[in-house]
Amino acid sequence: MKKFLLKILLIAIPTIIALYLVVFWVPPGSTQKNFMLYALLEKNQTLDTTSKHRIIFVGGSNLSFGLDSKKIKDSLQINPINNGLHAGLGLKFMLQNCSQFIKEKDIIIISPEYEQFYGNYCNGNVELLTSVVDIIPSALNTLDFDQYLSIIPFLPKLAQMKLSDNLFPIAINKEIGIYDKKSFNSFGDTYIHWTLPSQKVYPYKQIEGSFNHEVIGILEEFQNFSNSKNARVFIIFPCIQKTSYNKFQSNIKEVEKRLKKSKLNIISTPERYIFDDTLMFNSQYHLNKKGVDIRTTKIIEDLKKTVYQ
Amino acid sequence: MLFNSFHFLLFFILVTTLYFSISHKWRWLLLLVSSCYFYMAFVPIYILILGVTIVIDYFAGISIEKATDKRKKVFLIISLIANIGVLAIFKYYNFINDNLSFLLKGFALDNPIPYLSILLPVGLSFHTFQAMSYTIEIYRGNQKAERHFGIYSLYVMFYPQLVAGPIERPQNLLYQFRQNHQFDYDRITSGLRLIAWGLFKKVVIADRLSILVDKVYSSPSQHDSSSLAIATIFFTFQIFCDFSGYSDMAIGTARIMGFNLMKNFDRPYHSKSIDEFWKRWHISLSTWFKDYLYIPLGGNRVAIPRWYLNLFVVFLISGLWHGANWTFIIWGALHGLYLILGNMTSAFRHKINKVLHIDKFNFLKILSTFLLVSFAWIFFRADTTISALYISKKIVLGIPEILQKIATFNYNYEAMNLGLKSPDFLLSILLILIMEMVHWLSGKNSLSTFFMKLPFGVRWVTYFTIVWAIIYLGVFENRQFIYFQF
Repeated sequence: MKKFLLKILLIAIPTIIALYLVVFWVPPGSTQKNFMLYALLEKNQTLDTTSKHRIIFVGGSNLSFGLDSKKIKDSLQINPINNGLHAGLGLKFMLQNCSQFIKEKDIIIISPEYEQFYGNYCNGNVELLTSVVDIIPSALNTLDFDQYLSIIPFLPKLAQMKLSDNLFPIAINKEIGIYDKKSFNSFGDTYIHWTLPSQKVYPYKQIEGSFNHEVIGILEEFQNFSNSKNARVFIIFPCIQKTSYNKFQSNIKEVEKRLKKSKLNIISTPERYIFDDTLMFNSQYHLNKKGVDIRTTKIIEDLKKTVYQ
Repeated sequence: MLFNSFHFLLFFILVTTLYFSISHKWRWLLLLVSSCYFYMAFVPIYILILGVTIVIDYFAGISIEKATDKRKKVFLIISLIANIGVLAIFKYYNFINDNLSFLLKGFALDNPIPYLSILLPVGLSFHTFQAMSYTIEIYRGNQKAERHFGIYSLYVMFYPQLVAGPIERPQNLLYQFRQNHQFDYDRITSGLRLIAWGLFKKVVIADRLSILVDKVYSSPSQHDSSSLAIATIFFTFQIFCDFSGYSDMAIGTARIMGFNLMKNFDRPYHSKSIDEFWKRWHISLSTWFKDYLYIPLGGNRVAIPRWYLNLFVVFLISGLWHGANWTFIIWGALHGLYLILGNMTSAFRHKINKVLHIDKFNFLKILSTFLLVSFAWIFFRADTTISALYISKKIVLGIPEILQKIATFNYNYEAMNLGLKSPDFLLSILLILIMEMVHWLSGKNSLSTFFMKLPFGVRWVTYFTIVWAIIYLGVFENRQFIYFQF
């Protein structure tokens, strides 16, 4: 037994040390630094500095690729902040991150992708790991046990990204790409793709795991916290490609049912935010400009009905 | 829970540690509970289906043993109907219904039978076949019925081989649950080596190759014949690394706890004929079909036309076992045809080989077998029959163009847009070569025996190389094992 453990340690210790060094000591390469996740800092700054009449949108890329905040501003005379970035950050982290910037009378609209309600998705993926290692290292200590457990398996992936980015750097294109750090306007909407042709979008392959009841609790907890700061929280359903909706209707209906049973304020129905495949840009949750306009108009109508009556 | 996930790593460490910490008396219970947890990590509700067939087969086994001639058969039939029935409902119902709708449409009729909105329970075909082998072996008098319900459940549910085999026989596995396995350094390290090698094949090779294969096979019309041929060859290695990788991990995991599972792969792409290929590929399934279908049909001890029919039927059913889709049936039929044609032309080919003095060129035999197997994989991998026919036609008609490109080294990889960057493409080829070289060097020895013959320093360098390759070259997208869908 001793001999066995000794040999296991002889392999494990150098391996873990090397992995630790690559992940935490090797700096991110230029491709990584140019990636949209690095906009998190600017988005947080916008949250921090925008004052009065704020409406904050929290969610993944269904928001960043699916809103025209200027229209909302012009129509409702409020200050929209699109905090949507990437679903891989996990709903839990999105709310943790947002909660430090909540101010009195804020309206917070949460639009989580449906995957956030299933399996372990809400605890974050490699995007969360990248964010807490390289972008906001101080956030590493704020994660809970489930989040650590969720991001640990992505350590090799982050190590691979860092090594390949540093060993084989790719020249950064001068033009701003759709997933670049600079692809956001001052409200936080991704706007680069508004002028680009749509790509073929295949339906989502699968929603992994069973319904995660913890997510409703996380949302309710966030609502209570926001209410204690005199802010209001609403949940809105994300935009989704029609083919993907048809494929995962039972999962989506389950989310709707559970949300409606909770103490959360729900705006509208999932069906209202189903978009024809021709309105999608390059993923099941990303809209092209025409889709963005339709969704924004619908959101404005829904906000007028429920939030700004 | 996938073998290539962090979840499994924690599960495996916990279960193995507990296994060696508790008394032998309670180990069956630990393994049964952990196997239930392992299975429920996919879709929890489906454990009920497994439960129902376990109860039926458990009582059927005892009843078969106690009964006299005629009643024996009745109980066996009940057990077989229960197992095949579950398989038919969950795997084939919608497929049959689909084809019925198509047929009725020809007569301008609507199909009144509703579709079932159900998911296929993971690994259903595997544990159904394992359960069937239990009642059949009792019926044949080769195995005593297991009285301990927990041990019998474990025979069907043993987590290392629950979802993708190897499909075990009761004579090989059941008695092992009663053995008291001690902590054995050599056995454990041999199991770990096998797990590492399996994981390497899965995450470093198979999942890397799948990037290119998925890209090309998802839109075959956008690719030329060379790209389709590359993707097909890549898939040939992908499916081997994926499935044999899983088998290695299953056998390694079981070995650590003291269980010996049967060998499932034996360097299949080194086969010199299709017949030999089926003795080396998915051995536990081929032998299952041989023992429980081919031989009862009469095997080769019948008139030649009937023998050919037996071969064809077995391979057709083997194709259907893999999936409820015409692509799998055609894949099975192709292998059946290969074997029949191989037998029909055997004497003629032998003469030609003698005249041309190429009988000793094993390489040509290996190459032609490999190409035939690869061609059949097109039907296994393609999404639809139409797509498979399109790909095979384009490859066959494009052979002159492919050969010309190879001869003149005239291709622009980047322009082919295969989804893998060129360093990754070259790395993939290098990894395949390394794997095949290891197979070639190990020869008929098991990988573990071959490995232990290496000098100490080389062994340790290899340990680190494999572990670090898994970490730094692995594709960690939680990609499922191909055979999980069956």
